[in-house]
Amino acid sequence: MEVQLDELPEYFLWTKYLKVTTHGVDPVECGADVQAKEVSRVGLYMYQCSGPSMEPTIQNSDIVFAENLSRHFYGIQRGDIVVAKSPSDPKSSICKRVIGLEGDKILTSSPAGFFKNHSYVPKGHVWLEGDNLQNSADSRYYGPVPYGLITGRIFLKMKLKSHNCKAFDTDEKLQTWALIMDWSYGAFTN
Amino acid sequence: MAQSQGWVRRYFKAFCKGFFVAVPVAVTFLDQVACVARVEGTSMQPSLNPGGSQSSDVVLLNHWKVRNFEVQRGDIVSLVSPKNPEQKIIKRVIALEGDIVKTIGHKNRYVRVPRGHIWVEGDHHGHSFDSNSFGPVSLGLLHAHATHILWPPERWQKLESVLPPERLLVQSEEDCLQGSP
Repeated sequence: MEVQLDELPEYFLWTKYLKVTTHGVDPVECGADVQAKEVSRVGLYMYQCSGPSMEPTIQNSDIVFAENLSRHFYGIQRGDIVVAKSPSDPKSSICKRVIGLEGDKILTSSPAGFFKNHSYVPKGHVWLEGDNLQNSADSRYYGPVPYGLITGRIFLKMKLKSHNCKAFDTDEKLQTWALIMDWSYGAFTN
Repeated sequence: MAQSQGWVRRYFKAFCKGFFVAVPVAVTFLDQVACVARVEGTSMQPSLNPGGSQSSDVVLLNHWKVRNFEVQRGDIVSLVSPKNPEQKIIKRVIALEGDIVKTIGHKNRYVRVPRGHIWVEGDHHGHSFDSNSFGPVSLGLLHAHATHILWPPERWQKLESVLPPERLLVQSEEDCLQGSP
């Protein structure tokens, strides 16, 4: 599913040791994938998600905020939605929910199937699944993900809608974004 | 009296200003460009730590070179351990994505390295916790490229990216694409 997204203006805001960056995102076909750049030591990140794999929790082109303190202090819990580097492409990121931590027993076959297959999450890894199970490439496809690939935990999401303003149309196709005051503090932890 | 106190205040102000500029700059440099680390263990003998526990080598870790996850076969790299995210391990890159490796002690004799992964091994086979134990590692775990040994001074040298001759690949990705047997 391809979606046309225009580039968000990029600006940095340094407040002592916190860095808040906005990014424009290239659309990715499957899964709630995000595009992100550098990871700083203590950071607050803002991403735009594309793809259907986290519906209905995170819709396509929602803005999400992630923090990386939980990851540094190993406080990621089951049920958290995390942003991680994709195991097959380190330059792109994925956005999934943590279903199991190391040592947990995970059902890998279909829950409705007759023969149930279980496996244990190995040490140092986590099991990620998207909320939209029919349309998500996650750990059921590429296996448990090493903890070191997790870059942040999402704690806030925001809806965003774009408006085409003819007055601002230039050769560079500038568009203005109208923020809809729809802050949803979803239940991201259980 | 007032003059000497004024001097102390000025000094303190200058110190604070310098401190709040220097610390973020230093932290950013150490995180993004290069840092220095001590190597523990015997898994990379004889390239690193040939003296064992008597003297640990100190290496220069170059983050800047791996910021786009570009590594070559034979590079010595440090990465986040897939089994323990709190630990960094230092190994040599043997194979890149698409290559087929002949493993030593792995459950499968031949392994094709998946997309976005690399195969790392320590030079001291048998005493190394590497891809022969935990399989190919994702490139996202790459931390830095070890370029030089800085300490002890008699071991000051540039680390060469050379693949050990006995670890030649069964088939590399380039060979597959060119259609050689």
